Amino acid sequence: MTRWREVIQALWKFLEGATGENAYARYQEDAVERGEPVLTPAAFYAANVEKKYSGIGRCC
Amino acid sequence: MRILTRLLWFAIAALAAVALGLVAAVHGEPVNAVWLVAAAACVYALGYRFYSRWIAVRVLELNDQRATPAERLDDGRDFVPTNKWVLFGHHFAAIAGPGPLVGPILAAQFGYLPGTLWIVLGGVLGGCVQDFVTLFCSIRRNGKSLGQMAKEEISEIGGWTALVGVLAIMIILIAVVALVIVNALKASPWGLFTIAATVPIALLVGVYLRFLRPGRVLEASLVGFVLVVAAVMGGKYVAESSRLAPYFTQGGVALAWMIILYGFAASVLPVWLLLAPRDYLSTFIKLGTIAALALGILVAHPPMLLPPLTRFTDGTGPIFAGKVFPFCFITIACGAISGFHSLIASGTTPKLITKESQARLIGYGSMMMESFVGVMAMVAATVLRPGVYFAINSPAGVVGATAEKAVATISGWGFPVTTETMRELAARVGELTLLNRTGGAPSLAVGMAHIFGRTLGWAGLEPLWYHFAIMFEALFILTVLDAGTRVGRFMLQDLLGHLWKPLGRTSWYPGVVATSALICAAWGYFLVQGVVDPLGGINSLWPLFGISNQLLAAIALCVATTILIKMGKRRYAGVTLGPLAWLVAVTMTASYEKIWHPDPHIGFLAQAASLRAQLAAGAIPAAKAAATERLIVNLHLDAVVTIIFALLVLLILFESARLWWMYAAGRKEPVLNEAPMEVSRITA
Repeated sequence: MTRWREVIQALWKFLEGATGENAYARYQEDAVERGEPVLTPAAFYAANVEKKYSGIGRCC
Repeated sequence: MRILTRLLWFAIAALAAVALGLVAAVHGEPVNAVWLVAAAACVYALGYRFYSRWIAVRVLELNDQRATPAERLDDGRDFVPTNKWVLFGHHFAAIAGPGPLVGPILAAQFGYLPGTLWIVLGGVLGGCVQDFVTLFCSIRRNGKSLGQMAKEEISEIGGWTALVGVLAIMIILIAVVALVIVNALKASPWGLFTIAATVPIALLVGVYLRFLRPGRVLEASLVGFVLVVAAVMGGKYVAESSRLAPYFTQGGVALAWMIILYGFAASVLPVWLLLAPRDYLSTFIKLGTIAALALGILVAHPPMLLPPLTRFTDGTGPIFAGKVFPFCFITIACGAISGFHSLIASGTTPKLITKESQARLIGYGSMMMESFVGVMAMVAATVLRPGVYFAINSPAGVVGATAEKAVATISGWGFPVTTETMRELAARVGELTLLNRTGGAPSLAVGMAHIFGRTLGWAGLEPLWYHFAIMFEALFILTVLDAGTRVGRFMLQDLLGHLWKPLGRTSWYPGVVATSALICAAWGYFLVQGVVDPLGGINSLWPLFGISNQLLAAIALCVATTILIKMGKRRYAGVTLGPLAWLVAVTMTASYEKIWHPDPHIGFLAQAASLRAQLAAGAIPAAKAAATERLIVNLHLDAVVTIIFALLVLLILFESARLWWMYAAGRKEPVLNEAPMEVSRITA
C-alpha cells in the first residue's frame, strides 16, 4: 500500500513539474533563498507567460 | 547478460529488415499498417541505441562533469536545471506542430513508401542529428540562439542570413498552416462552430489562470478540455439547425479574413488572455490524441489500402505537381528534418538541461518521437481507399468542379470512386461534402475517425471522431499561428527599432499594433492568394514552406559542421555534412523546378506565362480577367520568394565552405567560442 502511495506521489510530482503546476512553489522557494521580494501568484503567472511567449517556443 | 542484449538487438534488426522488406516489396494486396509501425519503431530503436550513442560518445564527447548553463547561470527564471523527462515533454510539445501531420498526408500521393522511408531514415540520419547537435552547440555556448551562433561561428553574413531566414519562414509557415485550416473549415458549420468556440473557451481559461486560480494549469486545462469536448458535441446541433448553420457556413475568403483577424488579436492582446491558455489546451489535447492514435493503430491494425508507389511519382500528381525527387522531400519537412527545430533546440531547452548527456534523449529522442507522429499520419492516409483519398485532397482546378467530373477523373487514374461513396462518407462524418477538401486536414481527420471508430467499435460516433480530429488539428495550427505572429512581431519590432526607436519598444502600444498589422498583412497576403488559387494554394505554398524550412535546416547544419571542424572533429564532419549535402541537393532542385519548370503545374513562371497567353487569346472570361491578372502577379512574387530562399542557402553555404577551406588549408586558425569549462556539482 505504501509502495503504491509512493508511486502515485512520484507520478503526481512528475505531472506537476511537467505541466508547470508547481512553478510558483519552486519560484517562491528560490526567491526566498535568494532574499528577493516574492511576487504574488497572479503576478508571477503573468510575468512567466509573458517571458515564455517572447521567443520562438512553438514549431511547425 | 551481454549475449542476451546482443541477441535482443539482433532480433530488433532482423524484425526491422523483415518489416521494411514486407512494406516495400509486397504489391497487389494490402499490407497491415502494423508492419509499417514495426519497421519504423525498430529503425528508431536501432538509430537511438547505436547512432545517437556513437555521436554522443565519439563525435560530441558529451561530458557530464562539465556544468551546463542551467547549473552555472541558474537564476531561477531563464536558467533552471530541470528534470530530464519534464524537459523531454516540453521540448517535444514545442517541436511537434501540424507539419508532421499534414506533410505525410500530402506526400502519400506518391504511395506510402517514399514518404515513409524519408520520414524514418531522414529522421534518424538527418532531423534527429540536426536537433541533437544544435542543442549540444547551444549548451556549450550558454544557450545562444542559432542566429547568434551563425554570426559568431561563421560570419556576420551568416547571422543576417539566419535572421532573414527565420522571419521569412515564419511568414510562409503561418500562411500555409492557416490555409490548411481554411480548407478544413470551408462549408463546414460543425467544424467552424467547434473552432470558434475554442476562442471564448481559451479566454475563460485565461481569466481562470490569471485571476481565479493563478497558475493552476492542470485544473484549468481540465475545465477547458471538458468545454472543448462539449463544443465538439454541440457542433452537431449547430450544423443541423436551419437558423444557426448559415452563420457557420463560410467560404474560403471569409474564413481567411477571420483567421487574419484572429492572428492580429492574439498578437496585440495580453499573452495570458488568449495565447497562453490556448497553448495549454492545445498541448494537452495534442499529446493525448497522439498517444490515442498510436494505441488506435496498434489495436485496430488496419490494412493499408494505398499502394506503396503510385503512378504520380512521375510528377503528374493532382495534390501537388512534381516528381518524387525532390518534391517528396520538400513536402515532408517536419517529421524527417525540420530547420525550425534548430530554433527550439537553441532557444529555451539548452538553458534548462541539467547534464550534457541528456541532450541525446532530449534532442535526438524528441525528434524521433516527432518522426513517429509523421509515420502515424502516413498510416491515417493509407487506411483510406485511394479513390477517396484523391477525391478529398485533389483541387477542383485539377479534377473538375462538379462531383461527377471529379470522380470520373479520379476513377480514370485507376483509383475507382463514386459520387455515392463520397456522399455517404460525407454524411457519415457530418460534412456537407468531402470533395476537393485540400490541405490534408480533412483526409487525416477521416483516417483518424476510421481508426478510432475501429478501435472503440463505436462506428456511429464517426462524426464526433472526425470533428474531434479537425478540432485537434486546428488547435495545433492556431497555436502555431498565434505564437508565430507574436514572435514575428517581436522580430519585426527588433528590426524596425533600428530605424525608429519607439517601434522597437514592446511596451509602446501603437508600435505593437502597427507591427502586428504588418506581420498579419504579410502572411495574410499569401493566405488569401492560396485561397483564390485555382490549384488549391497548397500546390504553391506548401513547397515554398518546405524550401524555407529546409533553408533553416541548411543554416543549422552549416553552423553544426563548422563547430565540429573547429572542435577538431573534421573526420566526423560527415555526420552533419551528409544531411546538409542532401538538403542542398533537394532545396536547389526544388527551387529551380518551382521557378523555371516548363510545366505550368510545377513552374511559377510557366503558369504565369500560360495564364497570360490564355488572357491574350480571350480564353478567360472577362469577369475573371482581373483575378487572373492578380494571380499572375502572385506567381511572379512566389518565384521571387523562391529565388531569395535559394540565394540565402547558397550564401550561407558559400560562407561556411570558405571557412572550412581556410581551416583545411591552414590559412585560418579555428577559434572555438565555447563557454569556459566548469566542473558540475550536480549529481543526476
